[in-house]
Amino acid sequence: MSTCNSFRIAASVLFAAILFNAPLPLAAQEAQTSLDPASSVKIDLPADSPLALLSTSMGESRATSRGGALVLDLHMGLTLRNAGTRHIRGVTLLITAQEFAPGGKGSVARPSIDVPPGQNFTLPIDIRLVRPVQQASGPLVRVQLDGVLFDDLSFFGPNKLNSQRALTFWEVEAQRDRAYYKQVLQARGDRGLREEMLASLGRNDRPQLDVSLSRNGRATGAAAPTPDHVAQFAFLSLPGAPVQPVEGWAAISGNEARSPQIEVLNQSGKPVRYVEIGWLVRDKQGHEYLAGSVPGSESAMVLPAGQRAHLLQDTALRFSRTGRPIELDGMTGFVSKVEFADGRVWVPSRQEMSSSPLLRVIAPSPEEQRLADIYAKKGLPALIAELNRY
Amino acid sequence: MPSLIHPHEKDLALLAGGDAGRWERLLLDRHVRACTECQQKVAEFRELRQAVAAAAETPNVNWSLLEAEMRANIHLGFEAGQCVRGVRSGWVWEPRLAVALACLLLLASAGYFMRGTHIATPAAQDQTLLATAGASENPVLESTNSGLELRSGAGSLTLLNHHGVMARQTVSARGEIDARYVDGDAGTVTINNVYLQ
Repeated sequence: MSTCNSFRIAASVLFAAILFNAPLPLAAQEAQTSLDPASSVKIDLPADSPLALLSTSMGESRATSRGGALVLDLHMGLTLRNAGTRHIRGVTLLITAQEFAPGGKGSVARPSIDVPPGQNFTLPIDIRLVRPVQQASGPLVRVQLDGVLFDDLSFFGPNKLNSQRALTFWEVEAQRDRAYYKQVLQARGDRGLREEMLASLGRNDRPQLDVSLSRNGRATGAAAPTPDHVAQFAFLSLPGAPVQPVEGWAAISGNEARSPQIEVLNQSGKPVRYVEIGWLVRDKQGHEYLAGSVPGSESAMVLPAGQRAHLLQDTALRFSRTGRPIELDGMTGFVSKVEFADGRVWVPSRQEMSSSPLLRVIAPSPEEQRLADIYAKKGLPALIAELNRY
Repeated sequence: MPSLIHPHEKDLALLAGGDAGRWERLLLDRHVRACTECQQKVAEFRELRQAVAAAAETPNVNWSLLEAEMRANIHLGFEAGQCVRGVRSGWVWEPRLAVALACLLLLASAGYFMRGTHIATPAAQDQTLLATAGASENPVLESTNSGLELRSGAGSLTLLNHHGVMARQTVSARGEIDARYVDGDAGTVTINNVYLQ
């Protein structure tokens, strides 16, 4: 066989390889379907709800068939009215799509608001749903009210997602941060408040990790099992915390952390029903990130004063940054939230956060995020006016 | 009357050798007949040509016989080469061919394994998504730049950040991920959350 012939064969193989790997034309794979997104969404509000649904805009919602998949893009705007008699501080809506994702659910919450009775507000819901085309059609998305928090911290709603707890923590953090910035304004004037806002904007731009999470085993895409090692948590001590972490560990393998367990001690004089430990991870280069949190069990836990309890979660978390896995090297925990049996809650004070490395790494509260956004977009006078509203 | 301009020596040489064209020969003859200087040059070229012809004479050669011998030698060389190939082996090591085939094999293999991931179209992403999700029935939560995704079986639910804004994401080991962002229009905070059941 001459060299010339071998190159002819090689060229043929190359051509075949290109044809083999070439995608089908996009136009052949993508086609609009006749699905009407507006009829695909069912919105349920209880009859005695303090919220009234005024209108639903569907914006650029569309249903598309792509290859073997049906893709439904819903861009909704729900205009709601406070039909009650108290100011609303937060709302959570439950999103379910059993045909698309039977193993989970979603929610859209709007904390840090102040909606007086009779006033309207709009809540955006942007969802993408994907499922096989051949699957039977039916009601696609269901939106339900999960909870409303009022200015006196009372609550309305079925609370399937523990929205009462989440909204209450956000509201208490909001009160803490507004009080802090008002105090800064009083003590250090415009310049002091400006410095604080610039620092907050800097913290908000801190790099964050992408996370993949699954239950009962490894997170998706994890490499073949490799020998794990159990890494101990180091703990940041916050003197004012009613609960202190005692010891904790998690199985570490590469960029994956599994089954974190933390033992805590209730050193307050009151029974506690919920504890959450903030979770920082450190990579091999020494960079520290807020990974998330290790909360207590969802089951009704009551930790009596002076007693110990274990926080266990059987999940696997895989961390990456800009698409590349990060090698976990160490973990740090701190008490971030506590709920007492009487419903009152504790969060770290600004002083405790400032006097520890916490402020460097933890995410700003939703209210701090909102205030910093006002400063960035409208300036200091608008921020001061906003602080003075409360 | 002869031209006052003498012909070029090259043309005189052609005339002497009988190689000038007909029209050129007429003009040159007319000039040379009237020009003693050019007559002398033409005479010199003719003498020189005869001398060269005498020196270049070669003995008689049988060109046909010589050609037959050369062809026979070439055929003999080819046959000898074939015999040597046959004795060594049936496989001939061709480095260029080997490199080309190895590259193509690598290309075809890489193309096959990257078929599902290298296409950046949404359709291909959805196909890949369906394929990977279908492989595992365990629901998975994932945070991405565009939002939070819950994959379950062959379907998925993604809560997108409004207008594609960047969000701060946090995860709870209980089986939740949240993404919070400030809505540029209203200046209010929205928190999307996905949960494993």
